[in-house]
Amino acid sequence: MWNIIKAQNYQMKKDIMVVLLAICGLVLLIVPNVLDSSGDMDGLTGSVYLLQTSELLLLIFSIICLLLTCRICGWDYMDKTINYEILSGHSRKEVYWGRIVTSGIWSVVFCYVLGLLPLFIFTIVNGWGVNMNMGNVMFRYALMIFPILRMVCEFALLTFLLRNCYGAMVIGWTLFALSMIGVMFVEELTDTEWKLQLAYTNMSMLFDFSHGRLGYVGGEDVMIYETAVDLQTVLGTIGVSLLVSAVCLALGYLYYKKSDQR
Amino acid sequence: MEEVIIDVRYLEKQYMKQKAVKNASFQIRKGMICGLIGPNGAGKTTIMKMLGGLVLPTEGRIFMYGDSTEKGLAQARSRMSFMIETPYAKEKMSARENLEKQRIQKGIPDKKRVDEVLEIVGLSDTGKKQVKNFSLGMRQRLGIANALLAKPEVMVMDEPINGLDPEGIVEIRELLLRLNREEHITIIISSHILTELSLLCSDYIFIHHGELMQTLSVDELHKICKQYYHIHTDNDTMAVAVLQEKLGVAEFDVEEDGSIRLYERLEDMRLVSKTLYDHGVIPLELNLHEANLEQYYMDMVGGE
Repeated sequence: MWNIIKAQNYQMKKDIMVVLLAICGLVLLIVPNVLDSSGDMDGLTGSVYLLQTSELLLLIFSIICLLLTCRICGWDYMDKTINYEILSGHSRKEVYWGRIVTSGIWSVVFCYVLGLLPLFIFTIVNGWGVNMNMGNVMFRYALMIFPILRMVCEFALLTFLLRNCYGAMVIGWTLFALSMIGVMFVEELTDTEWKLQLAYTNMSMLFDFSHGRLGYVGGEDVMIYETAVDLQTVLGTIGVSLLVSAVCLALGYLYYKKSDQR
Repeated sequence: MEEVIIDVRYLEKQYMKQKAVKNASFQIRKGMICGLIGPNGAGKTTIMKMLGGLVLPTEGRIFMYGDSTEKGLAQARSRMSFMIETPYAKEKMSARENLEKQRIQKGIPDKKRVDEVLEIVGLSDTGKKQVKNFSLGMRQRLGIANALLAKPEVMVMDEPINGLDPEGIVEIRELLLRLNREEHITIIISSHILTELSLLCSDYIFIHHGELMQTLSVDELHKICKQYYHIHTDNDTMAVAVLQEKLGVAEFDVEEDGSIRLYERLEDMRLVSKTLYDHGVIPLELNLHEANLEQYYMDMVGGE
């Protein structure tokens, strides 16, 4: 299995899509913030940057998981090079798990680098700021690994079922968008929070900084945002992510193990 | 007798309502070059895919090196190489990059092996040219290079000479013969070009409509396909004695009905006929039979 992971890493390093994803992600995260500040960069602290980009970050994380997972699990289906792994003597288990692990590693590393690098840059330049508690925010970032891996498993299942990288990207994105819109619709109607159970991901709960109060810090009125994560959210994030991931992985493996390869 | 490497027993593959392979049983021994012969849709590629683990059999079992467990078959395949249908390659990578990826995936530690196989198949000067710009012949060569990468004990090749020019066909034939002779690599090969198979193979498996029609060694096939006169006389026993004593004939067979297949003196039939007659044996039938692999195969499938 490790040889499959190494081979996939070799291939991904040569994939132009990875470069474009990195560049586009950084540009989308940094440039609008710089333009928004209208030349006054001093106010763009780490916490302000995060407040301004939290929703965009969720979108980017989702796109990263989608594109990388579908690419790693599905691209080799389209030109049948995945067949070489079975023909070389790797078991179906090794081929499947090799790609899942590779997808997980690339998605997590990519999300965290894109999610944290601009944050660190702005924090180093202008400081963290007073709007949010850094420790709590970092804890939220750490929890993010669970929904990221959940999305990887969901997109991997889709890709193994469809055996088509681009088809999985389109359908995966559609399902993701529909589930997020659907959950918002249900929440409006029923006045409950069902995101954890119904949506493709509960990332939006972890990066929800909409609850704040006015505070007085350093002689100025500032908005102080609630960043502590309650136990229910922590357990729900971890529990639902692990459960959904396990189901997706099991279904994907059962299908792949028994299916003929074209 | 050489070791049995692949033992296929009652293999079947059913797709919906159609059986692509029906009750196929055969053995591949070490050192064989075995040709799989059959028309399009006969089941050759399906059998190769089942050997490779890409397609799961509906019935039957495959033994490789005596083991038919999933783990055992996977380990056996690591000692083999497969080239099935159009060689698979990443279009936007070069030949070297494709082979490097395969080298890593197969766990081959020697990085120079990539250069070695590129040299063997004549692709060492392709540089950074992407595979999408390769001709069909170059892609076939890349597929063969990939098949040679791990120094396999067995090579299973589905139409490896497709798309090659005549020079390339000769090169690949000579390469395969050399690998078989010097490295003792066992080869299973399918091709539509029967003349090429007749120059290459030591054994043949004929497949038609998913069924194994016949397996033959090259000696058996040569006997069948060899040019001969079929002689039937009024006294076949006497005819044999006359041919041996008077003409010194040694290359002949006596068939079940007593008639004679004469493989020599083919240009001296007048002399043969006269000798028989002079010794009181009257030839009733004297027909020249001339068959090759292609003719034999066409006769077998009934001209379909």
